[in-house]
Amino acid sequence: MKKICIYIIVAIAVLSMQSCLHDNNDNFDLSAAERIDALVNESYEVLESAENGWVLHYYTGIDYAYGGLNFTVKFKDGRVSICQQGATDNNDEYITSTSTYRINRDRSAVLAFDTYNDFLHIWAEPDASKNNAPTDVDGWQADYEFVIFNISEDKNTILLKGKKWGNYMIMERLQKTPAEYLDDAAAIANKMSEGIGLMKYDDGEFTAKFLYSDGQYIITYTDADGNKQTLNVPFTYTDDGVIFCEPIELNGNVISGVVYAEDSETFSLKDTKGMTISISYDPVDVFQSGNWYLYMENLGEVAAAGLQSFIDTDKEVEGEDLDFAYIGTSKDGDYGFCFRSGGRYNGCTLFDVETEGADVITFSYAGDEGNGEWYRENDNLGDATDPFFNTFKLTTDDVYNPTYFILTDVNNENNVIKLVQEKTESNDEN
Amino acid sequence: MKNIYILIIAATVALGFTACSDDDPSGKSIFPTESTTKLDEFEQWLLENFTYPYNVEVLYRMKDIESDQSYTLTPADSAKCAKLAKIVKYLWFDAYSEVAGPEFVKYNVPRVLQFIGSLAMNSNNTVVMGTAEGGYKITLYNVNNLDSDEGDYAVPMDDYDALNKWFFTTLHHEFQHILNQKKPYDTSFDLISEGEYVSGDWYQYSTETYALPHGFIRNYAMVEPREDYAELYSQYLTNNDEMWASKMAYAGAKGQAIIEEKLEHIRNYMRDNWNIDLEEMRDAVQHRAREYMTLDYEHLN
Repeated sequence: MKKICIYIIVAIAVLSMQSCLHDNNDNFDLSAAERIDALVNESYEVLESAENGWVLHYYTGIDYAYGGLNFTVKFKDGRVSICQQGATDNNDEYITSTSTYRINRDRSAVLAFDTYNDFLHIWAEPDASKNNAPTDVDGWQADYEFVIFNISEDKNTILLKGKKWGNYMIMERLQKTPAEYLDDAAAIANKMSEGIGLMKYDDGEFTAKFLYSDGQYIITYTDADGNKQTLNVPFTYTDDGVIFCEPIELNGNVISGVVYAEDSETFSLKDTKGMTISISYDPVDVFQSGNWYLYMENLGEVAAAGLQSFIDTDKEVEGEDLDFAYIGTSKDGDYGFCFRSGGRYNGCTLFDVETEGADVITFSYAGDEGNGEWYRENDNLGDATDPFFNTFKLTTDDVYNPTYFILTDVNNENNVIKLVQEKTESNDEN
Repeated sequence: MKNIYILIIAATVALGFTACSDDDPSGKSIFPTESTTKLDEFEQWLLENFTYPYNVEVLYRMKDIESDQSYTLTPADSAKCAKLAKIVKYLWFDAYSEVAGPEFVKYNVPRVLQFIGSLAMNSNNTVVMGTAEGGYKITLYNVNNLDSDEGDYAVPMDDYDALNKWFFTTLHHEFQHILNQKKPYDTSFDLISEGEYVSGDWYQYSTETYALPHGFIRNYAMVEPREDYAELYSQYLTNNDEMWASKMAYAGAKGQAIIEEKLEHIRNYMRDNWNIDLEEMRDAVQHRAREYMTLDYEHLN
């Protein structure tokens, strides 16, 4: 009995040796819930403090797949007024659509546009008959609820993350009226989408090329291991240039956009190294930045025979006329031999492109896109594209304002191809 | 000696009752009760017409945690919500209140009515017209197509059949589920069409050429007996005489006899369990259907 009691005392004593650890120091002054509460209140204050509202650089599609556009958003007393780039009435006044918003307490503060707004929510509409969405039931994969990721110290920039589809988006405080901003951004868009084909970024030995393609840059460069890399970077226009959907890193430089400069061929980058980017006038770059049309009379005997084979087979098998064919950028933003047949069937044979110096370019086959595979298998499309899979020397009438390019096969003097800039009626007949 | 040990044990145990810290709550609730935004005119109207009389919350502002996140949805347009709320009150809440009394409505209707702007579309080309969750919440979709005459899913205000198709058959259907959950129906109903239910393949059958002749009021009723029960109830209440007759013509003598046998079950259930005369209920719904367009939908009153 004595032993049992001793055992019990020892056991209780051991169990009582609890430690009141007071090293559970809080990393934050407030609890998680209180911090979210504070963020919600701060967010309301910051959002409604912008007299002119904000510009929201908005993106749709998983990984920004369907590109971006600008909204201006003004928050006031639980309501939000939205304008969209290009959406004007008959008097060229921007149309405003007003709905409600609130900031929800979630794992963070969540900005929710919670009643229907004609401009914002149409992108999320699952009924494709209303918005020509590219998905069956997911609309344009567009968000209208956003986690508030960060508010900058100066309260002028808010980083949002789409809650359902996950794209990051930036909202910037407007320093001018919504109409002024959207007008300025539209003017920048005109200047930067037309006339600036391909820009070259040089950083010591490192070179990257920025090819404009319908709301995105296709950026190509060779990495440190000698591998060719391609980045597709959707962007939106600002009132001073473009801002990328997310910052990219090139040779250790983090770049988030380009600043346009009037009457200049060199533009500053929004980056960490203070670098610039310049319009390239190398023939290989000017050529790749445009669409160059095939015209039977301009083709050498090799290319002419190939194109004729495609035209004849297309007519014989499909009963279709070839509407046009060009070397350039496809509807999907890829590069190659693109065509339309029968008035509506678009297709493309994709090219891998290698360049050497300023004027030597090599094309190789990289698959087919759209109806390309069909016409390759059934209508001798390959006969028309094969003459391009060689190395050419490029010549043009004027690199600053070219009307044509002549591609001379460096290994076959009979394979000379002249491509013209404008699509003409003569091209259509082909 | 024994007592000494016991005293030592007791003392040791007592000394073990120590508290480590004073982690008291800060006193500030993390669930603030004060609204951060003022109620607008419509929200005030909802309070006075749904929340105060019927203890029902109308969720018309999208909350992702309240919606089915497996679908891609859009919020409802607030102006269309106001119109729908007026119609729902007149054609549904007030119809039950007229026949069964306001207390019946207060105690039995779902606590939350949610409006979603878009359709809930499935990749098999079907759409969800409404859902009910455990007698607590009914969700109506396609609200943004109310007062529209464009597209396949349009619901013009004066098109009573379209209103029924998109909203009221759903409301009556889901409400019947709620009543069934509170007081189960006679399961002998399940035997009437036993062996003919097709579960998820229902949409592959035509209502006119297959479902009706086999004694189902709609192809969706072929999913399972409880869906058959709720769908027949909702269609019977909402179809006017002309539409009901056209459906019975498709059903033929055999189909009509089966449907009538099922209806008799429902009549008995509603009378015995809820003291509601099914024909009186149908009359209330029908006379309101003839009158709802006389309401003022441009103002909240």
